[in-house]
Amino acid sequence: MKKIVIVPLFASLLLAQNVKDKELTVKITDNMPYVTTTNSGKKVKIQRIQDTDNQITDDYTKTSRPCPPFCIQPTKIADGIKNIEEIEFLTFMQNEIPKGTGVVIDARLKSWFELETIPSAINIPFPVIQNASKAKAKKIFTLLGMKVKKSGDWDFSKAKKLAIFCNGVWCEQSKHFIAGMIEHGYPKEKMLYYRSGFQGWKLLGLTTVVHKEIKK
Amino acid sequence: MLNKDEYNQDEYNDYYAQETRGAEISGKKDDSGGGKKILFIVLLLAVIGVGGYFGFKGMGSSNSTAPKDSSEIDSKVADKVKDNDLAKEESKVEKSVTKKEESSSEISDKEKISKEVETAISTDSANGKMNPEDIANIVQMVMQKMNKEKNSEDSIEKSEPITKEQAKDNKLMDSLEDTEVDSLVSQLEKVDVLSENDKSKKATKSEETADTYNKVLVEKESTVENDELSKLSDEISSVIAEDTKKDTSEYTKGVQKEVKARKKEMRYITVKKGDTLGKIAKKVYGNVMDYKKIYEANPDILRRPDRVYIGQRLRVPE
Repeated sequence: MKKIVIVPLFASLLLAQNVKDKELTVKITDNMPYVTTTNSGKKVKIQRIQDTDNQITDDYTKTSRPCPPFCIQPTKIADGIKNIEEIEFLTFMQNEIPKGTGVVIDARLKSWFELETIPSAINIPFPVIQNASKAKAKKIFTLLGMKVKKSGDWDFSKAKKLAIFCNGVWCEQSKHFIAGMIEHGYPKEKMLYYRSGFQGWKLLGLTTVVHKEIKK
Repeated sequence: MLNKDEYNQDEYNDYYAQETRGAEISGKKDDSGGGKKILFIVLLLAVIGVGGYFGFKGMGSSNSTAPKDSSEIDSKVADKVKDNDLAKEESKVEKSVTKKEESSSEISDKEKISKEVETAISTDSANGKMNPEDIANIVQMVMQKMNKEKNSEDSIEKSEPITKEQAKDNKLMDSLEDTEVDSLVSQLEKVDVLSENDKSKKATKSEETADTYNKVLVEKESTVENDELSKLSDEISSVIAEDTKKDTSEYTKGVQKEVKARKKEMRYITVKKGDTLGKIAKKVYGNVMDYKKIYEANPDILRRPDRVYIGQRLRVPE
C-alpha cells in the first residue's frame, strides 16, 4: 500500500519538475539559450539538440560529394560581401526580422528548401535571380523593400538586409545568388553571407523546419 | 428411528446451503471491498497527482520574488538548506534572545530572565550538546519573557519581526552563496520581450515542438493567419512561380541530382500497430533482413532492433 502511494507521489513530483521552466543543457551561447522566430506564421524556438550524446546521423554527414559541382568555397564569395556566422546570424534573426528590416534568404533550389531549412528563411532559388529579367528583378526587389523613384531609378535605402545561406562550405548556390543580385544592382552592404550554411547549422544541432515531408 | 451416526440429510442440506450461501455472500463482500479499495487508491493517486502538480507550481510562483533558481540549485543544495534550517532555527532563537536581552537591560526582572537564558545557553553550548529538556526550559523562559515584554514594551515587538526578516535574508543569502546567480534570467526575459515586440507574433498562435532531430514541421495550412514574413514568402514564391522555363545550366543539373539523393535520405515511416523492423523492411525493401538498414539509420531512436513503438518515426534510407 505504501509503495502504491509513494510511487505516484514521486511521479507527480517529477511531472511538476518538468512543468517548471527547464534550463537548457545545451545553449547557443552562455547568454543566449535559445532564439525565437517565426516560420509560416508559427512561432519557432531555435535551440540546439539537448541530447549531449546525439550525433549527426542522417543527412549532412556526407564528406564527399563530387566536385564540380560541389566545390569548397572561398571565404570571400564576392567583393564587398560581409560574412557572418551563427551568432551574427541569430542576432540578425532577433533584431532585423521582427522590425521588417531584414530577411533570411535560402538561396538553394526549392526542393531543397522544402525538405529542410533554417527557421524564418524565405526561398529565392539562385537560378531565379541569375536568369531574371530586369522586370522580374524589379518585382522581387520591390517585395524586398526597394522603392522606384519618379525618375525610374531604383532606391534601395529602405531595402531589407539579406542573410544568405545555402548548403555550406561545399555549396556555391549562394555565390550564384549573390552574383545575380549584384548584377541587378542590389546593394552589397545589404547582403550578408552565412558560409557555414545549412550543414554548419545542422552540425550544431540547431532547430530546422520542414515544409514538406517525404513519406514512404 | 434415528441412529446416532445417522444424520438428517435435510438438515445437512440446509446447513450446507447456508454455508455455501454465506461463503458466496462473504465472497461478494470481499469483491466489493476490493473494488472500493481500488477506487480509493485511484482517487488517492489523483488527489496526490493534482496536489503535487499545483503544490509544486505554487511553490514555484512563491519563489518568484527570489532570483529564479537555475538547475544548479539542485537537490543537494535544497537538502543543505533543509539541514541548515534546524541549525538556523536554533540560532534564530539565540539571536532574538540576545537582542531582547539588550533592549530589556533596563528592567531588572527581564535582565534576570535573560541572564538565566544566556547562562543556560552558554553552558549548553560549552557542552556542545543541548538536551531536549534544556531546550524546553529555554523556550519556556523565552515565552515567559515574551509575555512580559508584550505587556510593557512595543519596541521589542518591532525588533522581533526585523530579526525574523534578517534571518530570512540571511537564509536567502546563504542559499545564493551556494549557487550561481542565474545571469540567464534577464537574458531570457529579454528574448521574451523581443518576441513580444515582434509584430508578427500576433499571427503566431501555436509554438511548434521539435522532434528528435530538432526539426519542426511547418506544413502550411491555408487557414493559418499569415504574418508579414510568411506573406512576403508567399509573394516571392508566387513571383518565382511565374517562371515556367527550367534552368538547364550544368551546375543546376548537378545540384538537382543531389536533391534527389537527399530526398531519399529523408524518407521516414511511422510505426503502426503490429509493426516490427522486419515487417517494415519487408515492406520498404522487400527483404526482412534489411531491417539492419533501418536500425542503423536510427541510432538515436532505436536502442534495440527488436523494440519499436507505435508512433515512432523511423528513417528508411534508400
